[in-house]
Amino acid sequence: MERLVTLIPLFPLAGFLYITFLSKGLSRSFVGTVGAGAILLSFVASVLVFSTQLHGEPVVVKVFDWITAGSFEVDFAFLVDPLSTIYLLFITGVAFLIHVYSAGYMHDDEGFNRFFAYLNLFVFFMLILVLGDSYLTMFVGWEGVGLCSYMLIGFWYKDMRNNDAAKKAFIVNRIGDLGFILGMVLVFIYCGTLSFGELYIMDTAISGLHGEVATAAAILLFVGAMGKSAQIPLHTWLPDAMAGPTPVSALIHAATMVTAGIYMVARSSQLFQMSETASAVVVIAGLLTSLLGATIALTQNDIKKVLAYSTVSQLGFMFVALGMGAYTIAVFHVITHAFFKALLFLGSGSVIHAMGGEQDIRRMGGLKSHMPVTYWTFLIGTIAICGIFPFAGFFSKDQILAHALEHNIPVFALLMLASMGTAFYMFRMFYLTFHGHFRGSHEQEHHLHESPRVMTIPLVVLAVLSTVGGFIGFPHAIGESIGIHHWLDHFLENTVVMSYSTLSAGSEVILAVVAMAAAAVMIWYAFSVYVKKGTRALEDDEVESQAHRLLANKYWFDELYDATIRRPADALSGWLSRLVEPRMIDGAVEGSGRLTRWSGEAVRTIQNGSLTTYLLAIIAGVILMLIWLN
Amino acid sequence: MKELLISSLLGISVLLFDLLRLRRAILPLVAAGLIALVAVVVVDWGTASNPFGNNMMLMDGYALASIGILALLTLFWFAITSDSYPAQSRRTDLYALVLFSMTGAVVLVSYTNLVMMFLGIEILSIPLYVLVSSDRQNPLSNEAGFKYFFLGAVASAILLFGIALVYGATGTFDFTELGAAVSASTSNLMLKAGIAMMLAGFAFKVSAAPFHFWTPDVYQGSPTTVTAYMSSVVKAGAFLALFRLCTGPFSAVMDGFTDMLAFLAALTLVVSNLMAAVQTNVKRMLAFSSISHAGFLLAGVMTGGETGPGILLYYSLTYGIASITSFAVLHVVSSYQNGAMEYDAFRGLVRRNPFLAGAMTIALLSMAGIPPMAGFMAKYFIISGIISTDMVWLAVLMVLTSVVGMYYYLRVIIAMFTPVENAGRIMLRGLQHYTYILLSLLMIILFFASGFFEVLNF
Amino acid sequence: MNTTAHLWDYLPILIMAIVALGFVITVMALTHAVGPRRKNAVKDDPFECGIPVQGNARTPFSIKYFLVAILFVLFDVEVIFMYPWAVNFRELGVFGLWEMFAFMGLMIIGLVYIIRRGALKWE
Repeated sequence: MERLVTLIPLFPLAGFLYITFLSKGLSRSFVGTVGAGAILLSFVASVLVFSTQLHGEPVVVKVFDWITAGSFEVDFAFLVDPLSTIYLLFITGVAFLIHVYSAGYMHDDEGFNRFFAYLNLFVFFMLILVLGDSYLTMFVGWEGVGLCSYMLIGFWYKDMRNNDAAKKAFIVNRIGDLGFILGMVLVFIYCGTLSFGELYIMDTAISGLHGEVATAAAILLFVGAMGKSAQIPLHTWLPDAMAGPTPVSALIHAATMVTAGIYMVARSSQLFQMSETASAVVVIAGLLTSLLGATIALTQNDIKKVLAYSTVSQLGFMFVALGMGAYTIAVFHVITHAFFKALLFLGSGSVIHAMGGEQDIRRMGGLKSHMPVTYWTFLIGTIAICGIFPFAGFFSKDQILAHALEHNIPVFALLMLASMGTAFYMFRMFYLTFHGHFRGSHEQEHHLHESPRVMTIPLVVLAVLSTVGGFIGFPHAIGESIGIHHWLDHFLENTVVMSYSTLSAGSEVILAVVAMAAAAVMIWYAFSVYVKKGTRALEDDEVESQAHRLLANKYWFDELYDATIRRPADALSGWLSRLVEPRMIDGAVEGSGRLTRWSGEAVRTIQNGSLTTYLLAIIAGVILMLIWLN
Repeated sequence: MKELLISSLLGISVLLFDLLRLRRAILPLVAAGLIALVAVVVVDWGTASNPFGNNMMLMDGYALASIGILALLTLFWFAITSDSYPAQSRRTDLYALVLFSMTGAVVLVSYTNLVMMFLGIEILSIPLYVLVSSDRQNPLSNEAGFKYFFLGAVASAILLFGIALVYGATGTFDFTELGAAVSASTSNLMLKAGIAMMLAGFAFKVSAAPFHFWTPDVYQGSPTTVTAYMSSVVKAGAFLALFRLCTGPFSAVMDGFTDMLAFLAALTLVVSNLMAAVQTNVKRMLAFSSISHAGFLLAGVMTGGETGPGILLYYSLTYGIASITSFAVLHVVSSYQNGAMEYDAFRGLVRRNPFLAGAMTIALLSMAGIPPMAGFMAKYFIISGIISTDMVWLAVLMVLTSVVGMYYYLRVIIAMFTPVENAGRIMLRGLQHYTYILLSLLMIILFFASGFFEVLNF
Repeated sequence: MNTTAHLWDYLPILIMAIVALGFVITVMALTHAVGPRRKNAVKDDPFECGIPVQGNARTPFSIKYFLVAILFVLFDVEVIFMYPWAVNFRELGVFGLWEMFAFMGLMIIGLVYIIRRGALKWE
């Protein structure tokens, strides 16, 4: 098994190297097969590793000695436990489907090979992130996926806006990374190790942390998670990241990479459990983010932007769950979310593909009849995200709500609000896209078509997963009364801190019914506005209400950052470059350079090419060494 | 024993193949032989071995690891220069000489007797005199060969004189007896004089100041491929031999020489870096850079200790790879520019062949010691070793001279990325192409695998 | 063996070196001082009789002579290895015989190789 674990990340790495260096002149279908095949092999290996974890003990697989500097020792090792294996499973599974889809979606792109190389590299780093046995190994993957995300957002680098979006993602993530690094340093200083095995599995080293230090470490690590998982105030990069190709949005910016923050916090559950303050910070950030995402999404007209804000909002849900101690449920929501959000993004890709690159839902409408497969699968994804039984989103979202209800009624109320918002904006987008009349140009209408098989099959598979995926985590109270276990909770029992819901079966049923009824009301409302009345979404210059404008401009976050951070920073660097650099720094640097060259010229006179001089130097050297002896 | 047999018979087989008119098969033969050498090292690893040849040599862990690294470097050298020598007969001479010289290096890392050590040095050096002057039409090459031969003979004489004095003081050549005799008479002046002269002889071979003057002239004059070999395998062999001597029989008196070696290392670092900074010729700059790495390696020899061998091996391997790569790139570039080797010859290389430019960039950054290139870890290990022996001034000097190093390495990199009008493309054949990729990757992989070397135990 | 050798153990060698060097210097000085000198053109000529001199004696000579000479030296030195073998022939027995065959074989490969490369071609 140990060899198998090392193979899991090696397959995508091999795929990346092969496509990068040896794919010149090979056909696209071949490159696509190599790229997807590498992930498929990883997936198979993951399934095998996963099966050993069903009844096995966590295993640390040491790959090699990595850094040994004084007392600082880090092995490059993999941690195989239920949490990492379940992540492996859905990462490789979803990634494989998205690779297959990309072979169709990117088929006519000139950067086809480059795209698959980057995707493979991304999967490699993601697997390192998940498998790593220490914060440091995780950080390697963490930075690696950031790099791939950067390269893929700016994949169409000829358009400057894409490059700007890529840079923004990179820079905002750096701020989070700073928190991560500082958190790591703190953990190392107080615990003497960064290994998850030593910190959490064996529960020995973590005792070095307590009180305020634990709070500080947890919050710093959470800052890292905020960057990667787009939580307020570091959420601004994610909607812009939609500049990348749609499969990238599906894989990286919805299903896998952005959930790395959840993974990290779940990994560190013992640490977060030590500090109520830190957990409260997590809840507040998550709650604000979910509300913010849900409200902004109400007014967005770009199909991918709507999905992006919905991702931000769902990530907020997950963090609320984490902050309330329901780590398994957060992981559960990550999994179901991966299924339906990947499905929705790929569906939107299919729509964009048919529309010839158009992303504005105000130019769509009535696509139902043209692309039935996309329509039905998209519908399943939309229902799933709204949390309607028996689709996957219902189970995970319902349990987050149940936890909130138990612990904190205001949080519950706000989450309900966000959840209702979700139902509305999702169906608003859905109706505007697929129902009513077509509002685009004639050319576009003529061009409308269902996507090829290679794209629709992954949609169907994901739709199936979005339908049945929720059954791995059947609610406790109801489940026990009808004999279905909460399999996921059981599986993760010994890995993360557990928090069981104490709601009775009756109240759980009532909660589920209420939540679904609220969602149904919102769906009906969206239906009446956008289908029955046929209201169209406002054009940008028609927006009049201040509230609408506030939402459409995303609460002015970008402008705020521009005014408070970028401008002052620009002014400071301008001052430094005009005064400090030329006078002080350049002077010192150039001076030492001049000194070096001058002394070089001086030494040079001895190196004159004459044997006699050289011989003299040798003899002088020997004599000097002999004199030294006394 | 097997290792020595394989390496020496390999050179002779090359000659035999030429006689049997199997010239096309020579390169595969060499590759197979060197891979076999590495394989034998791997198989023998960890098995106890007995001294052989009347206690002349011993294949201990250190010797095996060193041979493995020397064989790998030689293999890389053959792979990367395979295209530089068309399949004409002159190539056979050079190949055989390189293999003979490598055999000398094999002897040098496994000797347990001073006679064998001297023999190893001569086997290593004599083929080099011929190799250096092998570009017969080029007066610079002839001059280099003569200078190297003449000064090398003087150095050998000094070394031999040192051996004679040591023998005079102890009455033995054998390591075990020598070790006992040395620790019994640590203050014997004749012994110390002998050791000092042996150190001087070695300092010449590894080109440490003030015995380094031949290096720039010889490195510049020799055919560039030969320079690549000299700065990697030969340098590694000489240093590994010196380390075997200092940590073996002479370990009892080495404390008395620490200051002297530190002074040599410091002088080497200062002189080489200052000189490298004012060069206009890349080949000469790389020669001085090679001297500056000798300063680092000399410091590595001083620190010794448990992790000493691993660190020295790691440094030798990483520097060897970077040096082979950089000289090979220089060779290709200059052969496309009528032999020009100035900084300007590198202009626009990134357009002309991105792989060459990439490999050169990685190699130079590795030499400069920038993470994540292996050279960073190599320098880091040595500097931290020096700090732990309380010679902070030397560590500071090492860091400062590395900064100077940045200056001349970056000049090449900047030139490569400077755009240039209508530059023709440089084409590489398959094997060479892949070797550049392999070596570039190795320089990064070794950075992450550095822990493996640090815990090598002998 | 006595490992505590002292420098004065080597005093006889030093005396020997001084005597050898001194003898040479003394004799050379003496011949210069004592011997009569009569210089003229004929006496300074390399050949006092026979064929008249043609050009300078310090001209480059063909590398071929050098090659032949160096090959001769090589094989001359090789014979040195055979003396101790010959002395110990009985003790070493068949093993020694094969060792010597191997040694000679390797030498011959080298010899054949340089002959093939044209080392002995005069033209």
